[in-house]
Amino acid sequence: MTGSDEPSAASELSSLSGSGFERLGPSGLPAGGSISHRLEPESGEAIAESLKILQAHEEPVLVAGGMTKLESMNPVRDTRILLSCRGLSGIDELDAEDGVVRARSGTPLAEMAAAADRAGWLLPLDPPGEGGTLGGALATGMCGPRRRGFGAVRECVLGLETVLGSGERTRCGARVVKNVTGYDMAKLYVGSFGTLAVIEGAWLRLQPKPRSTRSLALSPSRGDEPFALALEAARRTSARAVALVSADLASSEPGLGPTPELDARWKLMVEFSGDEAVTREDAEWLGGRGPSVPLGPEAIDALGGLQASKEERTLRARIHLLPSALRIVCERLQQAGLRLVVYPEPAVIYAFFEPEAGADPSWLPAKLAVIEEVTARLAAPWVVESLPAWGYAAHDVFMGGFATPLMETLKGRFDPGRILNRGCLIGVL
Amino acid sequence: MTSTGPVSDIAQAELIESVSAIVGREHCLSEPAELFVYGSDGLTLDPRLPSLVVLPGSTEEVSRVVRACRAAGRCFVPRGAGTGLSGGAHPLDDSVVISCTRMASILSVDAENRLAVVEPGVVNADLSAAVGPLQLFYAPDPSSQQACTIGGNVAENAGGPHTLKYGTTSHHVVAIEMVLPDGSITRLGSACGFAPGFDLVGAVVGSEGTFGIVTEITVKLTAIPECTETALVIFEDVPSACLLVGSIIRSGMVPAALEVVDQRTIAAVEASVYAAGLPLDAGAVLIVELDGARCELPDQMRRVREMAAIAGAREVSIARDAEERTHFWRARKGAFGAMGRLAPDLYVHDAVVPRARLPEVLGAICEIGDRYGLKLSNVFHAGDGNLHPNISFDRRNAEELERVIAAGREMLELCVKVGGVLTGEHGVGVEKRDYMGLLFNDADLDAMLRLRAAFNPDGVCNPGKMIPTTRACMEANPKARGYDAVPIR
Repeated sequence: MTGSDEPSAASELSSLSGSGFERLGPSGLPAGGSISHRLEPESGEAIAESLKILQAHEEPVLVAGGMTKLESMNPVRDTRILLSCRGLSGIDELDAEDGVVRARSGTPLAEMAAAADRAGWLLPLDPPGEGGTLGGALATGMCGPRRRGFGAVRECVLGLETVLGSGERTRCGARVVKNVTGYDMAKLYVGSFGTLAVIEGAWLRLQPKPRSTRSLALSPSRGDEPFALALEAARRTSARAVALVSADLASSEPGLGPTPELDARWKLMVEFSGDEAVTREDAEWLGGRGPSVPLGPEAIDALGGLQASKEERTLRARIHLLPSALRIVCERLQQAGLRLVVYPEPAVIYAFFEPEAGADPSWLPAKLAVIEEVTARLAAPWVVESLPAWGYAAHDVFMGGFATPLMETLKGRFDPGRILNRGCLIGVL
Repeated sequence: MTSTGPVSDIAQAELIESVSAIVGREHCLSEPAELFVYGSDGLTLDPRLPSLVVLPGSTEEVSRVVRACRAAGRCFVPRGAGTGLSGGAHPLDDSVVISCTRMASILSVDAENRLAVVEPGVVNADLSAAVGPLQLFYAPDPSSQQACTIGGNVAENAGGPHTLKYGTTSHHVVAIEMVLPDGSITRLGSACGFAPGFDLVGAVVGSEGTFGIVTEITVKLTAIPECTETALVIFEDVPSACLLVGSIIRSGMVPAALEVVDQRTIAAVEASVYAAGLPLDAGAVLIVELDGARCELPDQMRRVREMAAIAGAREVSIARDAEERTHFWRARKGAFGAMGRLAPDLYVHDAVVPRARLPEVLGAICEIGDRYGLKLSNVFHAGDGNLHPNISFDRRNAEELERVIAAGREMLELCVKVGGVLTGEHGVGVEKRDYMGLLFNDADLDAMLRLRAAFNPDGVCNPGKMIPTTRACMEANPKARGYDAVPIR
């Protein structure tokens, strides 16, 4: 390899067996980055040895799986090397008796879901968008529309194999479904955006496959309070996905399926799953609350697609709040021209804005200010999930958060060289 | 700055004076008779008298007491009701016990958002009783729920019979306020369940009081299910009961509880005041509890009956009402009390194995108990694979105690060998601290120490717990593990 931008660690990485180190061609550059080289280790040992070399050379890396969520973190700083986990792929074991699975970090989620399905189980992970890997889903901790039924990402993680930023390979948890042996390290790693350790593999708990699934869309009656109805739906026994979509968004996204009343302000989308009797009863209850139409599961999947949309000009923010605050926050955001997808429990609002072509860039700080103003009053944490490329330089995507001294200390202890995804989480982590 | 020797009378008097000025003399216990009950939690094998017990009444007082302890060079141990079973509240190193039992208020209940904010000394069952009229309950239900506190549950990530469906404490805690070992007060998490950055709440829950003292907890409340059905299934032997457990899990149902009581326990229970009318010749009893919507349970219970027949059940009884349900649970909930008749002491073990391995592991555990000549009985959360081999013994008999310890270790080794773990809900504490090497290597334990050190860098908070002592010594001496070069900001 030649060139003035050659990392000083290049020769050592090149000679490291199984590191998969190479210079990237122009077409291989991840969007918006300064990445010029890629590591694609074939084993945990190779990751560990690579990280030791990188730490010695103070050379940061961008750790990534399917690279489907890069827009939801701050751009890494000072980073030229991509550490792709795609080389660590495959399901090591799927125990159909116990409903647990062990897989490598780079395993595509679609492959895992299919394997679980064949074994009579369900993989309870639905991060937004397609093409994701197990490691990426765990590192980001991001949930899709079925969060109500699947639970948080961390809840299905039984054990993890990791390589710390300092290069040590470690393990936590196990394959059993209940465990308090030692500190719950997995909680720390899941959702840490790869800033503490590289996930090498994981044990996950699968869910039983439901015997029945029914999805439908409903236009809340004019006298009905849509947020109260959505919350009531989310609290039905078999609710797996419940979302309110603002009419402007619903009408522009055909993938979300038909809307019963086109002039309604909101479209309520619900998926019930479970035993036949309970999904029927819940669907009948909901159908009695207003005009409704059946939906296919793909309409619910399309909600996840919205959460992963990558239009160049679009702002997408995610706001976490209490169910009781949904109405007031949504009204304010709609007044500001934001289009919304609202999950009532756990209460999360996805707010979208797409300016007219050629709009003055001042729209971005103006919209962010509205979100900041409405969330600050409620102490509601929020993050930016996607910005126009030019927006990242001026805005930390974890705007509603702050790095506590504890977080900074943890970063220093697990990744002393601060080489893993430098700056991607709350600026300094 | 851990204490290394006996505390001098002068230093002790000075600490009593400074702490009394914070909490009041009546909340500062220093007489041996007062200290005695704080010498251990429910693991009574090796009690140690604390040097002092302090009962603060507020977060601010906890913070000031911690600072006073530090100023006096003393370690401290957080304590709830003392019902733990792994020695997590044992006061090692002449520690000061900081008991949170005076901080026992339910600060707020938000029925609309299904949240409650509580102080750590609130008794687990009291919270469910308080929110019951709102058709809500607090789901984690450890067997000690009538006495244990939510602060203690947070420390141990407590579970219980209904963990199978509802999860452990970690699933239900969204935010905490805690006093860190330097005396500072911090808040982690948020009421809505999300906070940007690392999941520090998730890390603190289950840290056995080694990260600081939790002084306020925001918990999720759960709707009381519309309907509950409980079946008592009688088998000739434990493997058949486990067969039904496996069938139910594979069928796609998620029961609220799947609890097995073995023949030895049945005998003890039926000879006690907890007698539930179980047949003494039964090899095992399985309690199957289903809850959910009224419309779905009849079919689920029909399927349970069919699977029970295939598994060779001798009898299936369905509780006709709440009273009968309580009766069914008597054998399970009264088991530990009943064992008090068998011997002066009871060692309640706790380990987890993959569910499919339950029959063989239980057989092997009984063989170990028999080989060591011990009175062994089994009550366990079968749906989670969470075993509780109970050994009845007399700790005054040193030779018997040695056999108890040796048998326990062999049982744990067996569980780890089949893919299991050392503890499913009791925690590591001092009991299993030195067994951690069975499951984790040095790098794994070192990662845990890195986490602990972020909260508790000098090891003053609950010393000597969870990580084997030799490693804990290294923790107190950064140069010994080569961390002195690590920049800590």
